[in-house]
Parts: sequence; C-alpha cells; structure tokens
Amino acid sequence: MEKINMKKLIGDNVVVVVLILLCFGFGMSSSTFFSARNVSNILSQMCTNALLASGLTYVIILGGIDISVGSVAGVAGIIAAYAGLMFPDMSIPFAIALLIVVGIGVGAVCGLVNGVLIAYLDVIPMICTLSTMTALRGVAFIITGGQPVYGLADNFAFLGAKRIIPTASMPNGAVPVIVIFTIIVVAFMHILLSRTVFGRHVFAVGSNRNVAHLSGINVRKVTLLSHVLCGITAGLCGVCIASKLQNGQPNAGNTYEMFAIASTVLGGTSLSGGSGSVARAMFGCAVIAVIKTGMDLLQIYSYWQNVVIGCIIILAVVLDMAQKKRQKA
Amino acid sequence: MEPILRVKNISKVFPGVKALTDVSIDFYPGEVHALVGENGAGKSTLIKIISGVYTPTEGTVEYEGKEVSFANPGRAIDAGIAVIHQELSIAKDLTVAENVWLGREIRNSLGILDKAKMNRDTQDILDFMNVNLKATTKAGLLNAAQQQMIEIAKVISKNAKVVIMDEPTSSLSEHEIDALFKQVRILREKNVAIIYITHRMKELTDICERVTVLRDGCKVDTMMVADVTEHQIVNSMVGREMGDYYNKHKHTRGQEMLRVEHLTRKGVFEDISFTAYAGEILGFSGLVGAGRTEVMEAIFGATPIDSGKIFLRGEEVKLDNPAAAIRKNLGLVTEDRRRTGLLLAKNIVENTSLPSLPLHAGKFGFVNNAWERKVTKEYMDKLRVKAPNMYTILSTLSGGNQQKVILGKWLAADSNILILDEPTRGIDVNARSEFYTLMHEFVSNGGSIIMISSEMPEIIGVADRVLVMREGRISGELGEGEINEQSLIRLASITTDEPAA
Repeated sequence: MEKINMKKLIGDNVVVVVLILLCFGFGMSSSTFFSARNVSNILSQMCTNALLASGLTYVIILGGIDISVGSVAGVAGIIAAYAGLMFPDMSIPFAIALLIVVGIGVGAVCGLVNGVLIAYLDVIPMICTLSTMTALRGVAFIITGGQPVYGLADNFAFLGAKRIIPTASMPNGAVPVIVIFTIIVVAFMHILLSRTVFGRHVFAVGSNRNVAHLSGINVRKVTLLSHVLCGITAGLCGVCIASKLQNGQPNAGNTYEMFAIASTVLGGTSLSGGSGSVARAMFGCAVIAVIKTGMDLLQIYSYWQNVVIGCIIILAVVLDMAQKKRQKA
Repeated sequence: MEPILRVKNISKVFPGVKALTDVSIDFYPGEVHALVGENGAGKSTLIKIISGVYTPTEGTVEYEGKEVSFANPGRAIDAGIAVIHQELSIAKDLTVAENVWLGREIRNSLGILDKAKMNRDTQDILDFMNVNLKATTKAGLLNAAQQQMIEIAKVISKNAKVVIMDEPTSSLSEHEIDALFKQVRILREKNVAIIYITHRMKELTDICERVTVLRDGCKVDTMMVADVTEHQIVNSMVGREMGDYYNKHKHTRGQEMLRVEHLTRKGVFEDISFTAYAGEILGFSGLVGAGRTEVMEAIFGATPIDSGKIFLRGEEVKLDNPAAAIRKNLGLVTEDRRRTGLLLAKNIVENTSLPSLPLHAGKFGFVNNAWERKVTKEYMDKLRVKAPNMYTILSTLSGGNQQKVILGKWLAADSNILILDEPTRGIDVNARSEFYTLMHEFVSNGGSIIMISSEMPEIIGVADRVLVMREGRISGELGEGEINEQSLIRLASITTDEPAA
C-alpha cells in the first residue's frame, strides 16, 4: 500500500524530482552552480518566463493555447519604452506604476483581441494566436522602424534590473526586484485559479464545455477572460524585459512562447485541457531555467539549447498523452 | 426458395446484459423483411452481427449456404452485405460519383484515378434508378432524400445481395418516402434481400413481405405481412411481465410549476404545450428522434426557440441560457451522462457544487469550501452515493452512482423542477430501483419531475401522466389508468389506424 502511494507521489511530482536531479547533476559538474550569485541569476532569468507561464496556464487548462504571448510582450515593452521617454525625471514609484499600467493595458487589449476571436468568433486558438503573433511582431517593428528605443532614465530599469537587500557578498543587493514582482503576480494568478469560482469555471470549461454550459457557466465569457489574463501577464512580462534592458527592443520576447509552453506542460498542465496549476508551472519554469543556465555553465553551444528545449516539450507531451491513455484504460 | 442469409440460434452477451437470446431468422432474396420491436429489443445488435461489427456469443450466420464469420464490416461488404445507416455516411465535399466509389476508387493501368469511368458508371446507375441526379454534383448540395439515393447507388454499384436499411424514412417527407420505396422495389426486382428496420407500422403493409418481431432480445414471431393486422403486430411487440420494481406510488398533484405554450423551433418541434405540476412525475414518451430532448433543452435555455412562451409557477419567464434556468430552480439531467452530464475527470465535490457555486461564493469570488463540503456530504448521504470519499474522481464510479451525483448536483442547486432525460440508461437493475425511489421522494416533497424515457415499461411503471411525442409534435396525453403499451405505441408510431378518441 505504502509503496503504491510512494509511486503515485513521485508520479504526481515528476517535475520536482526532475528539478532536484538536474540541480544535483549540474551542481556536481560545475563548482559555481550553487553560488549565491548563480542562484540569484537563475531566479531573475526565470521571472519573464514565469510571468508568461502563469497566464498561459489558464488558456491551456481551457484546452486552448496562446502562442502570441512573446509578441504581446514585445509590443508592451516598446510602448512602455516610448512612454518612459516622455518622463526623463521619473521617480522609482512612478516608473513602476508606469510599467505596470502599460503592461496591463497593452496586454489586456491584445488578450481581448485573441479572446474575442476565439470565444465569440470560434477561431481555433492555435491559428488565431499564430496570426496575432505574426501581426503583433510586425506592429512592433513598424512602431520602432526596426530600431531599439534608447535613452531611458535609470529609474526605468529599477523594476527589471535592480536588486535590493544588500549582503556582504553581494553589496548591490541579493534579491532582484523582478523576483518580488513576479512572486506577487504569480501568487495572484495561482490563487485566482485555485481558490475562486472563476478559477473553478476555467477548469470546468476545460474539462467539458457542454457540461459547463448546461451547468450555467458562461463558457464564452470564461474563455474571453482567460485570454485577457494571459495577455496581461504577457504584457507585464514585456515591460519587465524593457525595464531590464533599459530600452525597447522590437525583437524582445521572440520565441519566449515556446519556453513558456514548455514550462507549463512540464508543470503538469495538460495540453488537452481540464487540469493544471500555476504553482506547478513554476517548477516547470525552474527546470527550464536550470537547464539553460546549467548548459551555459557547461559551455554548451547555445543553438543546442533550442534543440534540448524542443525535445523537452515533445517528451512532456508524450508523457501527458501516455498518462491520459492509462487513465482511460 | 433457398434463403440467402440465415441467422441460427444467435445469442449475444455484453458484460452484464444479454442483448439477444437464441434468435433464428431466414432472409430470402427478392423479399423485404421488416424487423420491428421497441428500442432495446435487439434490432441493432442483430444487424451489427449480420454486418460483421459484432461476433455472436452463440449461434451462426449462414450466407449463400455457407457458414460465415466476418472479421470486420469491410469483409461483410466485400461479400455483398451492405448497410444503409440511419445517419447517412456521405462525404459532403465530394461529388456523387466520388461518394459512390469511396474506398473502392476505379484506377487505370497507371494507378491514377479514372474519374471519367467512375462518373460514367455512376450516371448509368442513377439513370437505371431513374433519379434526376448528376454524378458530378457535390453531395453537400443535395437534400437528405437525394443523399439517400447516393447510398442506394452505392449499394447497386457493389452488387450487394443483402441490404440492411435502418429506419431509412426517419428524416424523409411523405413524397420522398414514395421515391425511396420505388428504389426499394428496384432492388427487390434485382433479387436483393432487404432487411428493413422501421418503427412505422404503415410501412410494413406498403413495402414489406415478411415481418419479424423482436422483444427483449428474443424473437417473438416471423409472419407474412399479408396475414396479420397492424394491431396484431403491435400486440406482439408488447406485453411483458412487470414486477413492482418501479416502486410505483400514488402522488398528490400540487400547484402548477411549469407551463409551456406553443413552443416551436422550426423543423425540430412545433406547437408544444403542456403543464407540469408539483407532486407529479410527468412522462415524455415517443420514439428516439421525436424531438423530446430538443424540447427540454430549449426549455432549459440551452438552445433557442422560434416562438412560444414558458411560465414558471404562473409567471412568464425568458430563459435565454442555462444560467437563467438554474436561477429559476430548474435542473436538467441529460441523456448522455459522460458527454453532457459530468466532469468525469473531476471529483464529487467539484461536480456537485458546479451549478450552485456562484450563488454561495465568498468575498472576492472565493470558493466557499466549507459550504461545498457540507452540501456534498449532505447529498452523498441522502442519495446514498457509494464512493470511498467525496474527493473520488467521477470516472471511477459506477453508472448508478454517477447518476446520483448528477441528481445531487441539481438538488444542491435547489432545483424543484427536474427534467430527467433517459435517467436510467445504462444503469443496472438495483440502481434503477433505487433511483426511482429517489424520484418518488423528490416528488413527494413538492418537486416536479419531467421524465423522458424511451422504455415503455419505465414510463408505465413510474409516470403519473404521460405525453407522447411524434415527429416534433405532441401526439397525445395519457392520464392515470390509460397508460399502457398499446396506447403508447399507437401514439408514438405512424399507423393507418385512426387514433382513438
């Protein structure tokens, strides 16, 4: 009896086990892996991906997908950069507020477009967001003329690049601000999904739209709101990237969607919908971040990293499907 | 004359159900042989055995004098046994000719499709059938009757010797039925044996020579249609012993709960008017496809109506979506538990609270977990749901327990009008009996139940009053003392007999 439970425990938490094994492996092969600086680096690199994954979890639970998140982040970052140029003397609180407002605003508008197309015009999510991904990337290049937006105030970079709470070994601060910001957003997204009626409705729609509809749930509204939420987290990711770089890059966020989808699926959110968790997606993000930095430390050629990430997604999906089949049998 | 096809002592057992018991029938070439019986009498199981979908548990099938055992439907088709299903299998984007030759396309010596020959051959068949259709027309542009002609052309092109037609007239108008019968006669002249499944008594005398009646998986009799009356056939379809396993109780009718006036959705149901009362189980009888489910979905706000009014407790309401209906204390237990009733991958708590969750939400829309657990426990106890605990995943429960969870979900939502669509389908006898008791309790406490059922014994055993639907209309009402199988069949089928006054 106990043995079966142990098996189930590991089965349900594969991603945690993988994470521990990876950390152990990289820790053995690289002396700097567990240094405070590297851990702090991994955490801050995780953040943009974590923001994307927190919103993606919603649409993937619905049985959909949003591959436009990288482009949404790109557009939000550029608009934040232009907005930032208008206030060269901005204070830190003002800079944070500006970034958050732009991130939420741009993200919500993009999410609304996706949501209306998918929920009310019944466009297939994959095709819809593939199209908006392409279109929005075009928009980012049109707005900037293909050139990065430079000349932003130092305070603009506070949210994305600065650290607070200095220690002896890290006099510039041990905790990146972006980590704190991300934790707040992710915590909000996690609680909304796991504790509220709306979250329950997301799971219900993802499990079975017909049942949800006949149980009085407004399926279209739930779908729309989920895409808006996904857009918002993508927008917030975009402004964080802009802040981190202290400029607006038209190419920012490019291909980030693949990492975010990989993280979400690794975190156990089923691509066929109905189950998943924001918190678990964070473990997926950690696995991806550890693999990336680990490969950097081991000086693995960066093109190989894409191959590895691609294979990880395929592996995660195959495992998910195998599990589904087993449940059916 | 030698029979072309004989089934001998066929029995078919599914886990827990005996669908056919010792059935033997001979089918002769050049003859239309009708297969009649209630839903669940075993007709479809029998044709599935003949056409190679199922293998019989006992007994043999003889075709052209030899014992055969088709490994799959493809083998049966190759041998010359074709089925025209009730749901036509037409690829709408392909032409008539492409449909006729689908899967057996004619190729020239280079292995390239010989479209010209396929079109020519198809046109020859269509001309032979004397139907005004072009081989090159897209099938999607044709109506249901014309699409059926494609199926018949397919059968002719295969040189089938046995053709099974499963309720071929169910979606046709009178005029189209005549055209279909003409084709059936052509097939008959080509010495094809036709197995004809129908619910319409009139068609027996119109087109069939012989009729076999099935009841509860057994053959009642095979008769020459000319020798018997419709009445005799109907009588042999019914008449079984019924125990008191329905726990039939007398209920006292209370106030009016739901009144529907002239509800219409064009082409689906028309002019539906009825009243359901508290303290009453109102049965909805009729054949599958008579429009009963569609009416109930419309009342529940799941599908739109073209015209008509709905009154709840005397007050006119507009129910545009299920949420509105749920707020007015309506509950719908759907026909297909797995597809439209339950979140199979979720647990009992999540299923039970689903419709009522928003009404009991805490601040900021948080789920009220304490309420949710309390109400789930309450109804699991009341309805005697057998499960390890309230976090058990629904897919692991038995059909009867799943159905109880659905019932609990509507009781938790304070439903006092419950619409039950085939509530005991796929549930074993004990669970059924228990479910009927729960229905009785609900009605005794002032609730109102509308129960759709295609099983006549169930309607007779459970309902206080019955409405019968036929082809989208209410064809009659039966009160206490009038509910019996003869009346139900008479009202549900299309017969030449005048309905009794």
